[in-house]
Amino acid sequence: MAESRWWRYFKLNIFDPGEDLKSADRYRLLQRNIVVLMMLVTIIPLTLMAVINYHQYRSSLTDEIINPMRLLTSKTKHSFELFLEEKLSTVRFITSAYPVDTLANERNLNRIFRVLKKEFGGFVDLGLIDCQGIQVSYAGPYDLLAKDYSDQAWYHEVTIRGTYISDVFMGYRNFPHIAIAVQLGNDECDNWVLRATIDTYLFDNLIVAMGLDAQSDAFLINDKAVFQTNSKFYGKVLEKCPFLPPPGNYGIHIEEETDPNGREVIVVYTHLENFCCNLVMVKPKSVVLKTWFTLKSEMFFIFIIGAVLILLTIFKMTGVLVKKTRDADERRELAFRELEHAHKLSSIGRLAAGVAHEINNPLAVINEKAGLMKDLVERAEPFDKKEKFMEVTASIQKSVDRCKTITHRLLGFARRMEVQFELLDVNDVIREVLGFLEKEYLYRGIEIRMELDENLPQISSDLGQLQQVFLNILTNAFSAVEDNGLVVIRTWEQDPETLGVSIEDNGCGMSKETLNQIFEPFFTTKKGYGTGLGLAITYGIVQKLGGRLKVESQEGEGTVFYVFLRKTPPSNTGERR
Amino acid sequence: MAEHKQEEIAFFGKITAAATHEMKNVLAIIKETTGLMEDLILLSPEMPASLREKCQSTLSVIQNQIKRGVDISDHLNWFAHCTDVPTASMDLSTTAVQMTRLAQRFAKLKGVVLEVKPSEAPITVQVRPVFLLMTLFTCIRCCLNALSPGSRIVLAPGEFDTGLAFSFLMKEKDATPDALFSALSADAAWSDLRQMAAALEGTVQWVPGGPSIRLLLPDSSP
Amino acid sequence: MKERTLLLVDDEVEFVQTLAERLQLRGFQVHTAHDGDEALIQLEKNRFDMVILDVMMPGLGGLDVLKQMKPLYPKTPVILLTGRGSTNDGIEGMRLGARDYLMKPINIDELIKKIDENLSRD
Repeated sequence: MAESRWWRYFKLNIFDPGEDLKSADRYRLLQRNIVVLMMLVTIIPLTLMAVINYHQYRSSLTDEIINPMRLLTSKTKHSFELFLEEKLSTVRFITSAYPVDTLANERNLNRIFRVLKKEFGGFVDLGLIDCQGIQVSYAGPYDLLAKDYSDQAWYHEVTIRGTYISDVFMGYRNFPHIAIAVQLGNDECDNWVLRATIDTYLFDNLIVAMGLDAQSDAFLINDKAVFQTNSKFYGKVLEKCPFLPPPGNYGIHIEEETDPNGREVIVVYTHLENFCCNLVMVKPKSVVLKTWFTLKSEMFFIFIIGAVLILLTIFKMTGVLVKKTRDADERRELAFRELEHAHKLSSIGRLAAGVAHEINNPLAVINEKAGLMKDLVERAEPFDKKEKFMEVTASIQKSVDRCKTITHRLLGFARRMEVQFELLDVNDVIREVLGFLEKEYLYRGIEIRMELDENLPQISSDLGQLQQVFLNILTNAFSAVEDNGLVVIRTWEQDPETLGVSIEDNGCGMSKETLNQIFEPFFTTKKGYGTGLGLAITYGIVQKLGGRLKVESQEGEGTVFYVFLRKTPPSNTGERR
Repeated sequence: MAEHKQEEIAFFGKITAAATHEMKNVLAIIKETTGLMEDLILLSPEMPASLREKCQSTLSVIQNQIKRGVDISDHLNWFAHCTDVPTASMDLSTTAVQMTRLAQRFAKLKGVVLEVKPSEAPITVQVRPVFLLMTLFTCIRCCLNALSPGSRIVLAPGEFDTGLAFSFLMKEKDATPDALFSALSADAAWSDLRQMAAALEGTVQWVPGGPSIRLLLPDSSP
Repeated sequence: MKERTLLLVDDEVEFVQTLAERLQLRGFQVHTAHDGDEALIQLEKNRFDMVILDVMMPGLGGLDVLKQMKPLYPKTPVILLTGRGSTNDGIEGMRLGARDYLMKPINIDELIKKIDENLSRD
């Protein structure tokens, strides 16, 4: 599938900037492009996430913090309602348990009052009011007997409703109280009223039980926003409250307002059932949202640090990567140039080889011609100087032999410039070379024992050169042994990077002096027909292949040649398949 | 690093030069020996006539072959000495002649005739000798790969309007320049040639008018 | 003893003709060819006891001739002549079915020894 055009354009401009620029500039440009690209790809999502998270957290935290406030207010509301309900029940119980006449008796009332005070806290006084609104019986610390309540609003309320719980009032005593009144009846009339006064310090207890922190405030206010309990910050009982409760019956209402001191606060209003009042909780926004502010600054902090880290990492990493790319490019250039050089040498080698080979042809002709003359003269009738003729032609042939040596040496040398690597199995190469020598060893009855490691791994080497190496060594071995001698060939894995080959013969062996010189060029023990070059060339080939050649020998017993070959070519030659 | 490579090449050249010298020595020996035989024949009237004739003709063949051997050795020697120095001032015609001779066998094996047409006046250029020879040889190889047996290549150095160059004229019967060029460009050696020419600071051009390959050299005669 | 027939193939005319002459002096019947195509034609026309084949020839080289003649004349032994300084051609040739090889310039006695060895095997 073809790449779309703009994708190619994109790739080209980002990753292959300035084709015609100098190398250093190109890499700087590349680095710049990558840095910008990476920055965009990392910073943009990061910012996006930060922004989204900010808003998400904001709303959810606000909820999370408001909810406990809601809960607390709710619980406290129930506490209040329960408290009041309990007090009311107590008074109602008294009205049910004792008839009017009993209660009208002051001594009874006192006794009841004492029990009331003892068993239930908070009762300040207890009084019975007749149908005309006159207090006829009273138990308590104040002097209120015969007080007339008939024109009081609460009195009317209780006659209508049957029960009544009042707002906080100061009344005659300058302490905040609330009154609970319950209607009861006898034969005379229905609206006798039993009235108890409750101390509001119990309210304060309930508020304290809310466990608010120092910055927060909670209090009761009535529908006209008059304090029923003391507020920490905003006023005392019966003063006007700056916060207005919402009208009507409502559940829980939460407002964000500014208090008289200028602080931003969250105000929770809740209306008490069956009671005039509203429970109000005021918390400064800063306290409420303390967690949020902390989170906000933490988020910001993290964002900044993250961004900085990202930038640093990007710069550092792209720097490293671009440098690596540059190094790799340079290395590749170098390898190309090296390969080029190897190419160069092999080209020269090839040319020289071609030419040298050409010399063989006239030499071959000369050789044959001289040989022919020798043949003819040999077969002719004897004549004067016949012997001389034969000598001279023989000497021509000897000269030709010398030339042959020279060209073959040169060609071998030239060929060594050309090394071509491929994967091969050393065991196979050895078997091949042996096949080539088969006639000789069969003819001479030489026993060949093969101890080749069948699991020998393949190596990367030059086939022709290896053949030459083994051929040379085997030829030497054959020269060294007698007919019916023994040659043992072994192969093994020497170590993870090297193979070992050994060719051992039980021939005449070599003396120490000979051993020291065998790899010298032109050193030969084959007087007259050895060129002395075979082992020198072999040594050179093994070196070129990156291997090692070793010889051990005992005069009269035999010789072992060790060839150690690398599995992979040395790094300064190119691999061509 | 580059010096080692240069040393390697110079070493190779030295060995080759030594070989050619020795070769010529031996050829000289053979020549003398042959001369001796010719003399012996002349000094042996009792030698059977047929044998005598046979030997004389044989000896003259040998002499020709000796000349041939010497000729080849000389060319190889020239080639070997080119590796002595990293840069040299080379005469284009001499180079062309030597190159033609050196590559003769490669052409013969492909059945192609390789000729040279030297320039009238001497033209010299400062180059890396081995590299130039390698490039020329690669040029010849490209031509040989693209041409069929029976064709001809004419190597001619010269001064063109675009600069100093070696021109390789490719003559094949019934082959169009386009066909030749597509054969050339399909050859892996062609891109090698272009790279080598660039490394020489020259260029390779295809001239359909020849049709020929023109190897332009950097214009820097000393 | 029956006269043995040889085919010599080499593009170097002087060489091949002189060698032929020398072998004839030694009792062989010798035919010559100067390139691969000629060699194949000769093989069609006559029966040979042995073929002596030069590796480096223009056009059809020695190894190509070997490849072509092996399926046609499997019983005919081949000895290769090569001027190259390496053993590659020899080994490659053996792989293709040649019996042996010699490097030029050759020693005629060595050649004859190899001819004898290979002919006596059949």
